[in-house]
Amino acid sequence: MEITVLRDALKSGLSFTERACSKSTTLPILQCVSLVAEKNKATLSATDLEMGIRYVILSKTESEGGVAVPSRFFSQLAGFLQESQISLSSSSAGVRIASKTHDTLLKTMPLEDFPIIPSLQGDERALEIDARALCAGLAQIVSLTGQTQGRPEISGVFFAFQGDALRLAATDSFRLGEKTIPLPKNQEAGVSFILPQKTARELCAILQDQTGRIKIYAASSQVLFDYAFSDPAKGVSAQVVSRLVEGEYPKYQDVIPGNFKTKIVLERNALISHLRTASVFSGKLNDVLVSIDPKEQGVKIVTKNSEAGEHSSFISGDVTGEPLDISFNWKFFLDGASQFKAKDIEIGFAGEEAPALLKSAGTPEAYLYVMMPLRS
Amino acid sequence: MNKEELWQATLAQLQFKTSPANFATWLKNTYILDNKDGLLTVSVPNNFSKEWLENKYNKTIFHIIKELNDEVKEIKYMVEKTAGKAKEAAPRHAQPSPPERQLGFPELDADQTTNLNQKYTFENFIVGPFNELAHAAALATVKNPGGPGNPLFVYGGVGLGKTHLLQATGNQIIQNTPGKKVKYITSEYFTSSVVSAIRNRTVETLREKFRELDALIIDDIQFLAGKEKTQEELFHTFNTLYQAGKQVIFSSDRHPKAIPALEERLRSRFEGGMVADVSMPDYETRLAILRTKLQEKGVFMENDVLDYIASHIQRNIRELEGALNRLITSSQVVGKMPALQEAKTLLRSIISNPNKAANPRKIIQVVAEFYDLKEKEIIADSRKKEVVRPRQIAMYLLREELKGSYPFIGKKFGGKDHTTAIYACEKIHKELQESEMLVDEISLIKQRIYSG
Repeated sequence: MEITVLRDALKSGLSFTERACSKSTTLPILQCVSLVAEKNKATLSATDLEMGIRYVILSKTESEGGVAVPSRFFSQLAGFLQESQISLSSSSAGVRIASKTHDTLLKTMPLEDFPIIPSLQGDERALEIDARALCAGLAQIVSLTGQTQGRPEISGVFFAFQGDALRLAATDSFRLGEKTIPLPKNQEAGVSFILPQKTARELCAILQDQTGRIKIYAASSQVLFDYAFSDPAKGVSAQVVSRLVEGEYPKYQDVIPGNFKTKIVLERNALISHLRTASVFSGKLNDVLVSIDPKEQGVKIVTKNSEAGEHSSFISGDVTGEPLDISFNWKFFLDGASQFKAKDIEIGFAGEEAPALLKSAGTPEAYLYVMMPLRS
Repeated sequence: MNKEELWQATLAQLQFKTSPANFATWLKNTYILDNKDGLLTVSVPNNFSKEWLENKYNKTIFHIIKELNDEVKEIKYMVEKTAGKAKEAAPRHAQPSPPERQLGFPELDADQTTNLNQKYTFENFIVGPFNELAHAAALATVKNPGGPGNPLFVYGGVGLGKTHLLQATGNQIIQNTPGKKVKYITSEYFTSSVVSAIRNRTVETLREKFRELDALIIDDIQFLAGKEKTQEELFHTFNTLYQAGKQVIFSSDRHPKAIPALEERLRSRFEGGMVADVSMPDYETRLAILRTKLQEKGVFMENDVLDYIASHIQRNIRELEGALNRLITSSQVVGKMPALQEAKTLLRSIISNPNKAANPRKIIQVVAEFYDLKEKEIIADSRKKEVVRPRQIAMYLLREELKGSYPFIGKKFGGKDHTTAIYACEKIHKELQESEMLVDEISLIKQRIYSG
């Protein structure tokens, strides 16, 4: 293999693909990135056998071929090189990476040992979505997925395509976030899958700054995200392939409360800062007591810690309905409140041991957050 | 050789042709799905394995297979969804009690496909002499589903833990063998499914749905009484599952012999496996249950209060939990756990006081209903066998529960002589020593008297 590529493209490609590398030592080849050159383009690939990333960049190819290079060394090196053009050539000794002033020889692993990253299977259904919107939406809920092994279905983000919008949902069975993202045009409805948390995170990280659309190919056994870059100097295209979480996602809509005994509207910034202050004095359950009294037109937040002391504060806001005393894990509360961009948040309570629903007051934000309280 | 043996032989040779790391990675969770007409289909856990085996190992695998079975002309690799389930590292755990007081979304607990609630496990099922037979039978079923304990028929009164045991069995089977198709339903669900299948002409689909299960659990099977079409469907479904060695588990409020309007062939099938009863918990077990529930909730209560609850609520574990919750709720309002006196007051409405309990009319009414007779018939003069027995049982209960005098009892039954009453009570008393069925019947009747 003998090629010349732009350093920026190589750097970009490596920083994306190395995210898919596995730290596992059982199969050392998985710690490598494969670089395969064809006429006019070179493909960087990496995988941990659950997720795979392919990144294609333009290349002036003198001779085709490929190598499998340990990703850490490769990306570190690419990060340090200053010149804009890098040439790479492979031999039995390894891969020679040369620029005008630097010359490096990296030992490689046999390319034949490198796994084949699956492409389209043939039974895919194709959909399209705006890259930035998807990544922004994913970022708002990916950390809400469940971590326990007891319920694998909730360890991923649920994707449900409904024709004109994509609904994303994630829950750890104590709180839940749902985001609705409008689709660029009316598309096939009824496609749904559960994306593993790791893939969701990596996808976000890779494509968050990209304008343009992601094509999603959903098959029964895997999902493939395909993105074509608008700036060829950065790269030609990127593909993320991932396994899906098996099983049926629980009917989470049943969990979202509809009838409320008490409703409050609070200023978002005030709520967040009060919660943070109160958290200093919360006990080991991270509990914060929220006391709502319609007469006061506001909410009292109380925390007690047997060692540190106690704290109480008052946030004024609109209160309708019955008085209520309810406790929450302040971290869950804060996680939810901080996702909103609106000035005010509306919170509906269905009872002392029932879920509470957070949404933006005023203009709807296509995001809602439900959380369960602590037993009183 | 069969599929398993063929694949094992293949793997045995393949392991020497690849490195241990590669062998472990690419051939994990693979098995032969089908071998028909020269086409061998191998199941693989994911697309990465599929690509690798198709492109890198196929020649070698084909070569080995051809030597073992030369009818094979082609090998195809397919990603099978259930194969991946075993890959999910640890098997399903019952969701642990939420960290201290954090509540979880209630609807998320029940698995959609199996209808099994993860909170029912063997770990939180308390065993005592009253349910150890049923418990042992359930454990045996888990160890060997489809074996000699098939079907498993558990019966007993209300609130004694039958559903808990059934669900725990289902959950444990799935935990031991992930990927097994287990379904828990109530007989009511089965009945309404049959009815709508008949209406929509989708009976075949319904049959397929149940027959592809590895284990079927039906709760409250006594409600099938009198429902002919449903019983017929159940009969066919049961036979198919049983002959395929799949486990079926039933629960009921009474012994199969005592379920009225039940087809003989179903009755004999219910009795053909393992029949185990759950009776009422004794004092020690009631106390143990209370303590365990308290521990789960992370709450402390004085011993004398626990003793009071355990001594006065004897019939029903659900009632025990209800009493406990009542006291805990009030303690949160007041700020501390109730002492014995307060507890007595709080529980007064739950713990049946003599007034609420029974009156002669109620007893006669319940007995009549139980044996499908009219009150008039029991009180009348008829000496028909079907009427005399319930009448004697009713007389016995009036004596036992209300401590009525014999003349009093005689009068209640339309002016009968007090000697009739004496005879009835003694006869039933003697029969109780000999017939367990009668003991069950009377205990059921008593439950109905006091819960109505």
